[in-house]
Amino acid sequence: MPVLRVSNLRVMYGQKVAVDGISFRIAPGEIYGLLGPNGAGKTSTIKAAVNLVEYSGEIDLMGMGRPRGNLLNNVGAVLETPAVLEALTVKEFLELVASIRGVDGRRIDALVQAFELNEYLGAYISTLSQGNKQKVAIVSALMHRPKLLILDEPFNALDVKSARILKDVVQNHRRDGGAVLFSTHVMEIAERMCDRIGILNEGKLVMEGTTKSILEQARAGSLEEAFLRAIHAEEEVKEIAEAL
Amino acid sequence: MRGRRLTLERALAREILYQGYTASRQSGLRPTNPMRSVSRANTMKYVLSAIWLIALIGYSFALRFERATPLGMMLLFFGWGGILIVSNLLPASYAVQGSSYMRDALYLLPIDEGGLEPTFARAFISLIDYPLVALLAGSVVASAIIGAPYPFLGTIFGIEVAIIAIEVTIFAFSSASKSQTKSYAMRALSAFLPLIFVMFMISPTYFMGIDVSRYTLLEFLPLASGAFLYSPVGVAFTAIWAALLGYYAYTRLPSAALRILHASSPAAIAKRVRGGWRIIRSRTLAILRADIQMSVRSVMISMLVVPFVLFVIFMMTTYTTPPAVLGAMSAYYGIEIAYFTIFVPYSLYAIEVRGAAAMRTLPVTRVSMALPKALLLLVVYYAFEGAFSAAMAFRGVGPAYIVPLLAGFLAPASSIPAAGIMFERTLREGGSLGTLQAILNFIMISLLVGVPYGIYYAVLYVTGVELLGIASMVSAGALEFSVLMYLLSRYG
Repeated sequence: MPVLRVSNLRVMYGQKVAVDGISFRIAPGEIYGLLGPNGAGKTSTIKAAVNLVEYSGEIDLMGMGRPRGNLLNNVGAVLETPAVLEALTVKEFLELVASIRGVDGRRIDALVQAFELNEYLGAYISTLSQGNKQKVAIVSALMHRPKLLILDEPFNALDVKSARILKDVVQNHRRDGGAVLFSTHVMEIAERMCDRIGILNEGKLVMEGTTKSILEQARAGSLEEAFLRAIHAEEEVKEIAEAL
Repeated sequence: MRGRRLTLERALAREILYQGYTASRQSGLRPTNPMRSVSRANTMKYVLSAIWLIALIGYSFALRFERATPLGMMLLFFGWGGILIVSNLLPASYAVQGSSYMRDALYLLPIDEGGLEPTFARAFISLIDYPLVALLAGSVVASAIIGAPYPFLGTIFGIEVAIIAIEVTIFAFSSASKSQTKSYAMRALSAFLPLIFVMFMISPTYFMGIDVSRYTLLEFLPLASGAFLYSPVGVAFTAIWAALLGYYAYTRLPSAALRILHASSPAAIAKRVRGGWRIIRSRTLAILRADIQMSVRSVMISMLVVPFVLFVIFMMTTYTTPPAVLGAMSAYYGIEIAYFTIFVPYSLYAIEVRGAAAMRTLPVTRVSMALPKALLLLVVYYAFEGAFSAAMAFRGVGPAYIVPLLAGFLAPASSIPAAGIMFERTLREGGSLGTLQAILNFIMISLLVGVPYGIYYAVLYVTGVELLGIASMVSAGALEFSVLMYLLSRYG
């Protein structure tokens, strides 16, 4: 049974269609990468997957239905804009999350040390850099060892060491049978980490498969080339570069 | 604003509004449209100005039949004038806190900082343009209706004091902006500012009878001097104080407004904390703890304090009201305290709008989010109503007046699921609610809270049986609370 099943997902903001009827599944022990240009619908898909935006279609978590309420204890999410409560200190926020998730202090200690947040436990989250806010969100998403990790551009603001730790944590999570849905702009990361990739463009899933099958489908030598072909931007990029 | 040329002044005013009203309230759930948010803030300004204009004129008709003293009238209009200015400028002054966006953007442009001072001042004044017109026009008409200048003078003093108070707040914000702790403390303190004016607005009966004509020394003091307009000294000092305060408010405005440029985000101070993790096993208590921690660091503290302020005023009143009429007055005071406790859940929900995404990704339901509010409301309700009832019992008021107040908890409790549904709507709208919808929601909550009390009085009137009235009120409250809780759990 898939950990996450998305069927005919559609997200609209007013009249604007952000996600237009996409479907995909993520199996246990699988990392699924969402690629796409800015505004393609990656973040909206991820927000729908944790029930943060209204949507039509179906999202099913482990055969138990829509991911909301207590079901969300099977999910750990790191959003593009870190979902934290900024008026709290790092310690207060992690204590709140631990209380709600029923996690003990040893697990948090280990994560706080790994992401080098112990210096900032008494600092208000609002004063942290984007990278440190991201780390707080990562710790809160990992502390309960969720079955599904949802990561939206998780490496964006992270320093090299923390990014590496997160990559290793994600790989270990997969090895232990966990599933991961993550979005990124960085092709190398997608190529190296993902078992399967879905390329989004203008809200539609225009290509899907393993890296190998995507390269074959697009008749491309690299994922970057395949990506540009999938979103029909290869010629445009060449023209713009020449004009500049 | 569409179709009008975008001047630097207009762009600054727009940015101040955005930073003050909406940037600090983003929920992170869905993309927000800044122009829509700014436009809503502007609409609110127009609507409030119109309401104030009508209210000032309406009040003046009522005052013709009241036995109000000159100072009583001035205090009333002082409150109405001051609160409109403060409520429009205070959120804008929050733009000073922790926001360096405007400075960063403007410093990249070839503009001299000195030249920006009047531009910033005009941008600030544009935030209160319609309110100023409404207040001046309303108070002039009110003075004409009453046939005395007290409404106009009270309003003028209210406007001036409000602007000076905002300027002081901005300077204080600016000096505290480097430390987040000080910044939060200042924000919480500033939240009490509107209460000064609100106190004069919501307690007119208390202030209306203040007669200072025997205390002639007061004719040298600002505002109070207006009560002595029959003497040349009173007239002179009223004119001098109005001119001095106006001059001070006007001349300080440019430098206060420019403080926005010097605002900086507080730096994170590496701060180790002693002691282990304090992980509460009860979700309800953990959420309640976080709600309170966030509230005391925000302007929401003022909403939490409103019932307390009322409680203090009414407690004072119980000692100045003759016991014979205290019984009849107790219901009015007690229900008003109960009514204002609805600010408790409302403010806790409001504080959760920012960072709503954080809570939504956690395994909590809407009902489990409502429980901490219910718990706090229960404590606040019985602390205030209990103390108020005890004070009345001590003064000889019988149980027939006290028991309904103690049994009426479920009436304000219904405001919890109602506010919950309302904030669900807010979040769907991207974190800011439409003006009309906000007004309708407020009316809806007010009516909901009033229904059980209304039923109590109706049953009492029809049957004359106290116990039946109380039972009907409790049943209606329980039914209302249950239905709304069910709707909240099913919402969305």
